[in-house]
Amino acid sequence: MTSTAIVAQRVRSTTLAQRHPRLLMGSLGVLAVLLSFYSLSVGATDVSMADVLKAIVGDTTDQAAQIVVQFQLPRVLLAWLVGIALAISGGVMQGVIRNPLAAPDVVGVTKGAGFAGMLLLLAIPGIPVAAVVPAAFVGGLVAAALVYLLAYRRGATPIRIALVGIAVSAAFEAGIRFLLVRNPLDVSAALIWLTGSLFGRSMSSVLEILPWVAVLVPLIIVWARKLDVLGLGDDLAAGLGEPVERTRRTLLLFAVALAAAAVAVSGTIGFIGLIAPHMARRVFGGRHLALLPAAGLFGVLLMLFADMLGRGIAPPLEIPAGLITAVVGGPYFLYLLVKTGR
Amino acid sequence: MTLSVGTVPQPTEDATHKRPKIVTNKQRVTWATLVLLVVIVAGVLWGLSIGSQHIPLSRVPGAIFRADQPDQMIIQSIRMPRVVLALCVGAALAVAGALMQAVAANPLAAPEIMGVNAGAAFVVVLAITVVPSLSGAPTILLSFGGAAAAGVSVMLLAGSGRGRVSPVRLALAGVTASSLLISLTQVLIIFDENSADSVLFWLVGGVNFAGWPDVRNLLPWMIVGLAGAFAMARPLNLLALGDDMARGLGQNIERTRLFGSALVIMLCGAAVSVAGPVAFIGLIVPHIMRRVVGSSYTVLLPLCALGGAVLVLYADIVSRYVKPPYEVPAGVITALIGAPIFVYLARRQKVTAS
Amino acid sequence: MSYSATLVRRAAAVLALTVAAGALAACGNSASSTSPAAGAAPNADRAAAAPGVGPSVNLDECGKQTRTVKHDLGTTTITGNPTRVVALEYSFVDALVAVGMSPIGVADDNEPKRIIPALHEKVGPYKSVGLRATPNIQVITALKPDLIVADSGRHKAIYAQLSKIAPTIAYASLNGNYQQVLDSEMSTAIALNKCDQMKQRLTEHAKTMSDLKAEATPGESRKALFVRASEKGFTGFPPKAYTPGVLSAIGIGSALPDSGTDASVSLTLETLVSTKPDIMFIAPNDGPTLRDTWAKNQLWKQLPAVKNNATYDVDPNEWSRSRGLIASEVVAQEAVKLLYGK
Repeated sequence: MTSTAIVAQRVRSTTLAQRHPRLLMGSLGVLAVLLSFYSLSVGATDVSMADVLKAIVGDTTDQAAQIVVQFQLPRVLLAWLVGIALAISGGVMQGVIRNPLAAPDVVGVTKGAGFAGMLLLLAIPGIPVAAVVPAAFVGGLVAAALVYLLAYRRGATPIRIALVGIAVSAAFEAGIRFLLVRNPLDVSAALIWLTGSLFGRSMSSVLEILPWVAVLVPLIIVWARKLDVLGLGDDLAAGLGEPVERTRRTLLLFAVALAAAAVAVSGTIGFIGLIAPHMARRVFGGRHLALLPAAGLFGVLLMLFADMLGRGIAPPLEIPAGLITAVVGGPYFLYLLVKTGR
Repeated sequence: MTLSVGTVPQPTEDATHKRPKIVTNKQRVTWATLVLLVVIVAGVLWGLSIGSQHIPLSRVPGAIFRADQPDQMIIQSIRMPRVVLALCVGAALAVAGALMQAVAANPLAAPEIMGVNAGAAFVVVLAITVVPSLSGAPTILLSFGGAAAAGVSVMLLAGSGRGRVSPVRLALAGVTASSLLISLTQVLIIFDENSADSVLFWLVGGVNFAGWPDVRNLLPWMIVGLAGAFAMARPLNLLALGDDMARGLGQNIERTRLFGSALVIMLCGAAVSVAGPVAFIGLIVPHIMRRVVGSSYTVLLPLCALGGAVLVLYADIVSRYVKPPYEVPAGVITALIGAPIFVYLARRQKVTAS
Repeated sequence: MSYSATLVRRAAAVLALTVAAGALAACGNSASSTSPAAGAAPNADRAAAAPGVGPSVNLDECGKQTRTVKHDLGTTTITGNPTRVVALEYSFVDALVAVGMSPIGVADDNEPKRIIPALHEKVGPYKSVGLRATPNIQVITALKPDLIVADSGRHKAIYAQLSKIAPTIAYASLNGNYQQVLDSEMSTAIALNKCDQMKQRLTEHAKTMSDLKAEATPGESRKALFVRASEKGFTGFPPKAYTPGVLSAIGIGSALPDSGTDASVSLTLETLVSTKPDIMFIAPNDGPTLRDTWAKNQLWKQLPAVKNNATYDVDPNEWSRSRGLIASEVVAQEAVKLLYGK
C-alpha cells in the first residue's frame, strides 16, 4: 500500500468542507479580505470606507487617506503575515509533535524570543529599536534549538520535545521576570512589546517578516503530505520510507523560524498558533494540504479581529492585540480541552 | 481530617510490599531529617545576622528574646518575620507540590505548572490595580479564589477526574492557562503604570517585605493545610497504587482527590498572597525529596515541608547578596535553581503515548 | 505612484539628515575636545541668558526662521512658529505652559486629573491621545500637529512614525533628572521659537528657587528621602533622580546614597532604617500601601523622620509624574512650606 492510501485511510474525510474544500477556503479568503478593508477604516478617528477606497487607488491627498496608507495599511498587512506565520507554525508543530496542544509557545520559541528582545530593550538602553527584531528572531531559534538538543536522546520523541519545551520556556520566563525587576523604569515599553501588539508598527516591520513568510510557507505547503505521513507514528512512517528524524527536524526548523519571525516583529501574541490549526482541523479535517492553508486563513482572521478590536474598543486607548487573542483564545482552548478529554 | 481507609481490613502492609514503588529507608529518613534541621537552624541564624544593617552574629541569639536596642529590634521585627515567613512559604509550596503530584497522579503536576500560582497572582494584581481599596485579609481570600479557579479548571479540564492523565497533557494544559493569566496580568500592569515596579517585584515572589502581619495571615492556613496534608498521607499512598487498586482497597478516591485539591489551593493561595508566586518550589522539592527518602507520603510530606523551607530560606539569604544594600526577590534565585531541574525532570520523563 | 515617490523622497531626506547629524556630532566633539577655551566665553553669556540650562542646548538657534534642534533621538529642523503641538508626556505640557502656550493633544493616560492644578488652569481644551506608553498615532495624525514632543525612552520605537506626522523632538522625561528636564524645556522653547519667553521664565525660575532656598534654614543638614508607596512596594529615588534633584536645588540633601544607574530602588523596612532619613516625602498610591503596615512597626517609629514629625504625604502627580519647570517650583514651594511653614 502506498503512503497516500494509508494516510487517506487514517484521515477521516466526511465533512462538507472536505468535499468542497476549495469553495470553503475561497470564502474564508474573501472574508479575510473584506475584514481587512473594514479594518482599515476602524480606529480612533473617523475614516470612512470611501476614504479607504480612495487611499487604495492611490489618492492620498486628504488626511483620512493618509492615515489609512501610513498607519492602518501596515498594521493590516502585518496582521496577515503574523497571523499566517503563527497559525501555520502551530499547525506544523501540532503535526510534528503529534499533540493537539502543541504551539510555538510550547517549543520555547515565544519565550526565547521574548527573553532576547527584553534583554536588548532593557539591559542595553541605547540600543536602536531596529536591533530588537533580529535579536528576538535569533533568541527564538536558539531556544528551539536548545529544546531540541535537550530533548534528544536517541532521537527526539514528540512528547519529550513538548515537555522539555515547557521547561525551557519556564526558564526563559524566569529570566524575563528577572530583567523586569532589575529595570523598573523602562518596563512599560518592554511590557507592551512582550504582550504582543501591532501598535506603532510600520512598513519596515512588514518587510522584516515578509521574506520568511514568502519563502517558508510555500516550502511547508509542499511538504504538507510528509506531515500526514509523520502523523501515522514513527514506526509506520519509517516503514513507508520516510526519514522520520530528518523530516521532523526540517519541518520543526521551518515552523520555528516562522514563529520566531512573527514574535520578533509583533511581540508574543499567544494562542493563535494553538487555536487557528484547531479551527482548521474541525472544518477541513486532518489532511495537512488543506489544513495548513486553512489554518493560515483562520490565523489571519483572528489577528485582524484582535488588532481591529484593540484599536476600536476604547479609543484613544490601544488594547494590545495579544490581550485580545488571549481572552478569545483562552476560553476556546479550555473548550478544546474538555472536548478532547473525552 | 480522617480520610484513612476505614473499611479495609489489612490495608497498607501488603500493598506496600507488592509495589516496590513505595519504599522507605528508615535510616535515610532519619539522616535527611537531621541534616535538614541543622541546615534550617544554620540558615535561620545566617538569615537573622545579615542585611543592610551590620549586626554581629554574637548579638543574634540575645535579640530573639529582647528588643531594647535598635539592632535587636531590627532582628525581632524585620528579620525574624522574614525568616519565619520564608520557612512557612517554602513548606506550604513544597507540600502543595507533593500533594498535587499525588492527586493528579502526575510527576509534573506542581502549582506553578498548573497555573495555580499564576491564577492567584492575577487576582491579586487585579485587586491592586483595579480596586485598590481591597487589601489585607481580603487579598488572601481573593488569592484563594484565583488559585482555585485556575487550578481546578486546569485539573478538571486536563481530565484528572478521569483517571491518570499523561504528564504532557497536564503540563500543556497548565502552561497554556498560565500563559493566558500572565498575559492578562501584564496588561493590567501596562494600564496601571503607577504600581508597575512594585507589582513586578512582587510577581517574582519573595519575602523581602515580610512583617509579622504576613506571618499571622499565612500561619492559620498553613497549619491547617499542612496538618491536613500529613493526615492524608495514607490515602495518598493508596492513591499512588493506581485508581483501580485504591478503589479495590476501599478507598474513596474522588474524596481523596477533592480534599487534596482543596488543601493545595489553600496552601498555594495563602503562600502566594503573602509572598508572591515564588517559582518552582512545588515542582522541585518533592522530586528531590522523593529521591532521598522514597515515595511514601507518610515521610515524604513532612520532609517536603522541611526541604521547601530550606530552599526558600536560603534563596532569600542569597538574594540579599545580589545587589547590596538593595535586594532582589528570592524568586529570582529559586528560578535559577529550579529551571534547570525542571528541564532535567522533563528530559527524563518516561515517554508514553499521550 | 505618489505614495512611493514620497516614500523615496522621505527616505532620502532621512538619510541626508542622518548623515548631517552624524557630521554635526563629529564636529561638535572635535570642537569641544580640541579647544575648550573657545567654549568658555559663550558659556558665560548663556548663564546670563538661560540660567540653569546645560551646555548641550544650542542656544545659537534661537530666533532663527529655520532652527535645527538637537534632541535625544537625533536632530530635527523646524521652520516657522509651531502652534499645534502634541505633548506625549506631562513634562512637555509644562514646557508649553511655561512659554504661554497650550498643547492641542496630550498623552494624559485618559486621566485629565493627572495634569497638575498649576498647569491645568493654563491648559486650554485639548484632545487626549491615550496612554503615555502607547499614544494613539491615528489621533495624533488627525490633530494635524506641527510639532510633537516625545519621550526619548518610551517613544523610541515609534519615533520614525511620529516624524512622518510632524517634526518630532524627544527628550528624557520618564527617566529624566532635574537638569535634563530644564534642558528639555529650553530645547522645546527653541523648537517653538519662544526662546525669549523661556529665558525669561528660566530667570524667574532661578530666582524662585534661590528665594525658596533662602527660606530654608541656612546650612540645612537634614537629609530627605522621596518615596513612592504602593501596596506591594516602597520605591525610593536616589539623588540623581528628578525629585531629589529639585530638593537639592533648594538646599535639601538626599538620604539615599548615589546608586549608579538605578533610576529608583526598592526599599525594604531594613534598608529604610539604615538609610536614616531625617525627612520623608511620601507619595502614596490610592488604597492601602506598605507604609500603613510599616507604620505600626516600632522601627518605623524610630526613624528620625518619624520621630521628628517630618514625614509628609505629597501628591504623586505633582511630585513624581509631572517633571517640569513649573512642577518643580510647585514641589519646591510645597517642600519649603511643609518643612519651614513658610
